[in-house]
Amino acid sequence: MTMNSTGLAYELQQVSFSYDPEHPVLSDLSFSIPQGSWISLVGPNGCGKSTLARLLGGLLAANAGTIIVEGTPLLKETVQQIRPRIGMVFQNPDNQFIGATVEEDIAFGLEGRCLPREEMVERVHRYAEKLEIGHLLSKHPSELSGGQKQRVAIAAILALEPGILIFDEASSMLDERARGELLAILKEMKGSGRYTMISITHDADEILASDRAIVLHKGGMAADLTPRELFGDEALLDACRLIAPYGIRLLNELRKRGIDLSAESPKEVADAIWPLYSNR
Amino acid sequence: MAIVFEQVSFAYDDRSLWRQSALEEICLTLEEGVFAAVAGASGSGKSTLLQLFNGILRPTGGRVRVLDWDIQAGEKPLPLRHLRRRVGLVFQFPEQQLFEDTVEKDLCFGPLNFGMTRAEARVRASRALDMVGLDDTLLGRNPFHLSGGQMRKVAIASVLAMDPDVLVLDEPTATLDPQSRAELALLLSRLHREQGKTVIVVTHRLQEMLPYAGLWIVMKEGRLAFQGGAAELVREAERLERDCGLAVPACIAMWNEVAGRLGLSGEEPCLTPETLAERLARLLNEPSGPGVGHTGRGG
Amino acid sequence: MRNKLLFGRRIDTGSWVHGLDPRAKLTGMLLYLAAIVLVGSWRALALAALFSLTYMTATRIPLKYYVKAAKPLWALMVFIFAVQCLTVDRGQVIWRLGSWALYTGGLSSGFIAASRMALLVSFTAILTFTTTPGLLNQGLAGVLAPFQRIGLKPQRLTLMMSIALRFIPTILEETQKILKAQAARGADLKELPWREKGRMLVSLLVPVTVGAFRRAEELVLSMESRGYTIGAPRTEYHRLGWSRRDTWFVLSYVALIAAVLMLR
Repeated sequence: MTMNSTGLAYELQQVSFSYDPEHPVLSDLSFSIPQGSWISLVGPNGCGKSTLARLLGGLLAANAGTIIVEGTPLLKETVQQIRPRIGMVFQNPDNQFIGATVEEDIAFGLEGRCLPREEMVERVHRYAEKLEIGHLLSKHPSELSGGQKQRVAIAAILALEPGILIFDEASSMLDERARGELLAILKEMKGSGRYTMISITHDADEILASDRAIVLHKGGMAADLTPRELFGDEALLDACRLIAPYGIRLLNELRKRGIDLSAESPKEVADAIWPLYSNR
Repeated sequence: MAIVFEQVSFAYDDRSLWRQSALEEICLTLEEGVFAAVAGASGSGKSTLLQLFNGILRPTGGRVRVLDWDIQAGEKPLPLRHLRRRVGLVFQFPEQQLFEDTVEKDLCFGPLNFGMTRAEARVRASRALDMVGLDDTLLGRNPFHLSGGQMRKVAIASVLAMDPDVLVLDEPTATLDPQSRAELALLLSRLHREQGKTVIVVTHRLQEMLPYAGLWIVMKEGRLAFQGGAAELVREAERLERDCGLAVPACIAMWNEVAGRLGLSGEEPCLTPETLAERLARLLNEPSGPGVGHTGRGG
Repeated sequence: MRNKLLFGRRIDTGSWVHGLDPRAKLTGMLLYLAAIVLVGSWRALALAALFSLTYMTATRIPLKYYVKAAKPLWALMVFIFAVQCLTVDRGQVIWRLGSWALYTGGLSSGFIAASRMALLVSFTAILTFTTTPGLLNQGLAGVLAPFQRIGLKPQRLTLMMSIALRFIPTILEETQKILKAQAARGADLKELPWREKGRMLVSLLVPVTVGAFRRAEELVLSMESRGYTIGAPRTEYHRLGWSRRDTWFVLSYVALIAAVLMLR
């Protein structure tokens, strides 16, 4: 990761956006995201999350305020220089599959970077292997499952070697198994320390895996807190239309009944309950 | 008996070089008034199965009996329009089928197609909207200006407006936010309990339908891999995860781990945080007695 | 997974035809089109058929796929055949019905015309079965490159074509689904009386159009976020290499045209 002097991937100062002045979509947002961190953007539908994602990705321009990306203000003049630093993965696996085969889809962005052919071939194969889709390179999208298509989308983005990744509800159209696999991929990417990650999501497990949750409500910022703080705040959860992960809900219910545990996974809970049970 | 499948098979492009088998030899009985959930990995035939319930697809082998209809493979197709009124099928992302400029017109589309008068259709529309928990003020609105969750409910109401006896839904909660999902699942259970509808739901999030579904069906590669109640499903979860690619939710994993350790495996599983916490609290408060002995693996 | 549509899908067998330069294949295809137009006799037809069959076999793709590719157009072939039968009045009369008669000439030219169509379609399939759309596009851009001087922008054209090819199956699939969903609401195209079919069409067209626009919008976002800018320079992932084999491939078509001309 290239570090800038501030160590911030994003710095937003009083950012507002609207399609028409009567109905502001986002108003007066200020926050910052340190490089290498993983942020969840949460909030009810219509709170402006996806719009914010597009602003952060340089696909829309703010009406007011400043967005500073890795030390450079995002302006009309700088957007072409900043955009290559940012990769975006969207919700619908089908509609972001540009190529007619997996190989061509991963290569699409690389062609636009005008990379020499040898490097394109090397990157296509390297990132396909990384996402475990190396055996699918010649496949047409109709031969792939939703989960496989999202892996292709991620490989296509990673091949462009961005420092910032934005996932706009990337797991919401996947089945449970594929969703779990995608989460594992995100965790691994976070673990590599190479990426600043922003995920827009309703998924409790995904939020829990991130470092911080920024809560949007009616276009403004309602809270900026850790996932655990979020899942402990029932009023905020209701406002975001979220439900806490099962483990946390169980602990809360046990606490209400005078049983205090600190573990969450099934095995940990069983381990923690056992001594209470045998020593009662 | 609402639905009986006798060795039903289905293949796309049957009798051609490009035949693709989707279902094989399915035997299935769904009683009237049941709430059934269908699970299975993607491509296991869940969606194909649903489309046989109302004759959108006809079996290429075996026999399907639904209400008063009897559809046999190889027979001359009967007109099935009225079967479709009585078995309402809601496809995945049903909001994508809306097309009228007001909610009311879209809700009336089905009833009018089945020969109701405009006045009757209006009554049905308003009642269906009420059933999905939306009020009449929405009738005049443009469906394309509603929120995603509302559009989904309107689309489900557009099928309910035909007043079907059997309601079949393909992943009705997909892409909705968690609370909307929970609300929709609750809504389906209300239609089942209060209106006496037979409800059949395809889901890949077992936890959503576990509190409501009385019957579980798990598909694997076009065949039935499991059929039984929630308690059996919980007991066989590990096998189904391994063999059928089923994603076992946290509530089942938690119960199996905790129950196994504390010797509760024979009990009715507690699959919500509230019931499980209640059960554990009760267990910890009762004086120790027999039952500790055969837990074995604790420590 | 169901794949009814074979058009625009590559079937990889690794034959030498797969490895040809797409420009050679495209040029060959144009020459073949010319040859087919020139076919006028049974002997020429047999020669063209033999020629196609040779290349089809060389692709190592089972012939049934070619049959499948031509299948959607059978109605058109029957039509072409019928038109020839109805209008040509050469040769002997086989059958007379009132003032109209079926002649041997009509029958044979009908057969030749329909076969030409079938050959053309199946043979075009060689191109799509052995070449990825990406390569095909690049080949097309190559073939069109000389036209750049007269203001044509081959890259834009080929991008448009590739996206259309990519999304047509998806949109058709979606149309199928909406058709079924409306049938479940009592609007079954098969069972409705004619005057109702019009209304049915609206219930199909609106959702399909809305869906296509939504897809287009998301596709544009996705392309933009991968740095696509209209008209910006790009390198090409597939390398086109013209070899001696490609020259021979194109020449074989020239020979076919010559032979067909001689057999007229």
